[in-house]
Amino acid sequence: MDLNCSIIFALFLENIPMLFFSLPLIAAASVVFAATHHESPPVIWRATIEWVMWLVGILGAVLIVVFILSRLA
Amino acid sequence: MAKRVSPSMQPPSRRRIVAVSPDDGSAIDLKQPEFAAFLAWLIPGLGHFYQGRTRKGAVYMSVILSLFIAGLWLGDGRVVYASWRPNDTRWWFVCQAGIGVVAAPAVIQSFSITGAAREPFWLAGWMSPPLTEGQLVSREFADRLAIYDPYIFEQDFWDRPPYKQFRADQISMWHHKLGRFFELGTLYTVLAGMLNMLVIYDAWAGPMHPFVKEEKSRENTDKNNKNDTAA
Repeated sequence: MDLNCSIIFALFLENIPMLFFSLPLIAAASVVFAATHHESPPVIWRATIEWVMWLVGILGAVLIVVFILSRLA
Repeated sequence: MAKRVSPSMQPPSRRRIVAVSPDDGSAIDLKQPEFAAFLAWLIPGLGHFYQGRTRKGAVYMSVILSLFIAGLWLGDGRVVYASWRPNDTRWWFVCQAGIGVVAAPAVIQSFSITGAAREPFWLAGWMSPPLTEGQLVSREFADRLAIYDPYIFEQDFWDRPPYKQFRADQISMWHHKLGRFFELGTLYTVLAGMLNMLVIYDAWAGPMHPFVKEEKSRENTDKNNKNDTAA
């Protein structure tokens, strides 16, 4: 890993405490999204996990791209 | 055990509006959907309790109210307020109001502090809009702020009998005190209000059907079969 990548990674780690606050939002949104698509509680919980993975994946990808672009600009 | 009657077999006066569960195809009695939607707006999950969907109602209620209360806590009770003044228009409140009666104190506080009393209904200032420069407030409220708010002092008010006039900007003080937690609290409460819109829809129309493509393909197959039979 070269120096630039190390700096970007270190700056990303610096923001992790604030990223922690996004987890309850993702969890709550996933539960509500799953519950609006299903009726039975076991299915709702399964769908919640799927929604969590989708949201974390999409938001995480967007966050990393924005972060890297902001550092390169 | 009561005899089960399918909705289409009931007389019109007793006909229920039902939705179909996407999980097992069972019928969901929506009772009066408009009233259930109103209840769901009033308190998250209440519409589902009314419809007898108690477990789902409990999930909605706990998740959305927890999110809203967490946001209020992060923002020190300041992030939910209604204000339509030219220099302080709080558009976020439109989304926060989606949670219903829980956000109602903000409206009462707003009317009270801009009304003749010139002080919030609850003097602690909870959910009350921030004071702007030049705003007149009652002497009692000004004295209370000077005592209890660590950022406001007696010198921050001009004496304008029978009122006192604020000479600073309280929203700047909140931002200075809370930092990014002001934005975080706002985000939590806004998201709680917006998620409740989905809950309202669920109470009104039942669960969204995720298998639209399957249904369409089934309809197409049925149509093709009919055409083949006709031919």
